[in-house]
Amino acid sequence: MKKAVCFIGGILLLSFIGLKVKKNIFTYPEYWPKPVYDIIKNPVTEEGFQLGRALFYDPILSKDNTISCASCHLQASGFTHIDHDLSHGIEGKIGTRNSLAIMNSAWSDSFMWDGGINHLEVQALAPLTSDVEMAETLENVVRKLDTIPFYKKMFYKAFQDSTITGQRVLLGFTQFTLMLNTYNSKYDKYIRKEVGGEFTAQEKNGLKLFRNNCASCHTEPLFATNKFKNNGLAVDTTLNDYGRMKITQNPKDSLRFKVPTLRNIQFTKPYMHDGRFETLQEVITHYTNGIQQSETLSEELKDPILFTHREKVDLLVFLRTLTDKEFLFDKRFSFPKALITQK
Amino acid sequence: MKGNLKVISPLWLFMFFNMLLFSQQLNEDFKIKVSPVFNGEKLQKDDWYVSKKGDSIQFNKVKFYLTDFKFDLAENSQQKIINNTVLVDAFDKKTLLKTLQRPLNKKDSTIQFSLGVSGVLSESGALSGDFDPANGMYWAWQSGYINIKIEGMSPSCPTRKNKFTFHIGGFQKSYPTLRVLSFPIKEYQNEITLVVDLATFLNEIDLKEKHSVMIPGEKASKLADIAVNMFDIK
Repeated sequence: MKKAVCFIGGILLLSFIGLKVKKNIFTYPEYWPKPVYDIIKNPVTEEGFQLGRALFYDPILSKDNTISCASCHLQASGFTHIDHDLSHGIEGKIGTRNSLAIMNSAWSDSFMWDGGINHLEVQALAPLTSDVEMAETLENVVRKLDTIPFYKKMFYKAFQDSTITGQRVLLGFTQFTLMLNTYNSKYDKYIRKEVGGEFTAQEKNGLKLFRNNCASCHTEPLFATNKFKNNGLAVDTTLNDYGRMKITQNPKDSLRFKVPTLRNIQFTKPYMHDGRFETLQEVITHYTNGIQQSETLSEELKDPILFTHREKVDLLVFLRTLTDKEFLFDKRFSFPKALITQK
Repeated sequence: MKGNLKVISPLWLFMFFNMLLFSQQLNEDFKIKVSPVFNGEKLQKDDWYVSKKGDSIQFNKVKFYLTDFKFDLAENSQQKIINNTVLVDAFDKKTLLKTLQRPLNKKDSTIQFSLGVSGVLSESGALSGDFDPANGMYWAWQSGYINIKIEGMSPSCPTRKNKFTFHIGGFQKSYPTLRVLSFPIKEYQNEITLVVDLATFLNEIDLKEKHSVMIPGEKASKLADIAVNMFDIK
């Protein structure tokens, strides 16, 4: 009798644990470096990811309920704001910087062009509260979400508790952002020697040129480094943006900006922190002919980069192999219909 | 095996209840009462006060973090207090009394705590409770906690609506703003009243010149030096 009670108790306990422990769905290629983000602290569950996805696409996050995160971070353009040199927020207000693409965020140790944000979980606070972006407060977002049964249910599913807090809003966002990973471009298939990854002679030469001239900052496989560099851009006197120095107040950081990823670069135009270049041709020409000398200029750019016209074309062709259409058109990352049908 | 279970079960139960009893005996309540004043007078939202510099002043927001409470014991050891964070809102009564759990050992001589939040916590992402960024004490554009917020208005301020805004925070090595306070505690004392006199802060500031600091840096660090003098125990 006791055995039977123990057995049934054990089964019930295991079922209970099974219900509580949800599967972590965050994955990445085994040959990639370990993420900076501590995934054990906030494992990505399907429910948490879907909560973050709903929040990402919901304009309720802005002060006047007009713009969502997706307004400036469109999936098809690598989760950035295409065709705007500077991002704009509520009431048509214009910001001071080009929106960054959101991808492979788990490998970043700081965020924004000046690295002012030191942790992925608090990144969303910046656009949420900026007067020229969403102009809202986290406190008020919590208040608004708390009145909507759809979100009460989503928070319950994600956190086994329907209480909505600022922390949980941010953790939900983080779970969605952590899933926006791109590693299925032609380049990735070439590296993995997969079908569809066969490089042409031109692409191979472009990769060679890239590795010799660009990879020290845009390092494979992420095509980014967690560094801040002055890449020789002249100061735009309408903005007077000195980048990292604003955060550290150290003159050595004058004109240094975060090195962005080059993944999906074909679709993330315009380029640079102030969106001054419309095309990749202009970007390459900047590095070969447009470098402005200054005290904080990156060491890697002190000697001129010399490319022939043909080499420029080869490099450009290679950069297009970083396009990951599976990522750009993955329906799991698109607008969730539940926002219309269930909210 | 069955026999062993019969012996072990009561033993475990006995140990479990002993642990419960013992753990309850190990801690006792320690109350922190916070008393915001202006020159000894109780601080009220939107009441008028006059500083030594002759500035008429109203306050509409006074918030600050007290963290990392511990006792320095006479024998040079430290006794940490459990549940040791207080986010005080001078105009929200329920934040002015906090009961902490202190281990039962009263050989202390000094109570020590920090005014502000550590750099480690400021780099730890989204936290909960008093540290939830929804409390409005977290900088969005440059990660880190705002240790102290003092906001109000004075006709002396040459600003829109005569507002002054002091947000003191930042944990960079060159301009830290966290300050450590310590006060002697009598033996067997199980509560303190922490008087926070805003006059001490405003008496040191020329509102005509200095009326808004909202970023980390040298100015914030200097303000933290002034702000720490607001605190005393009764």
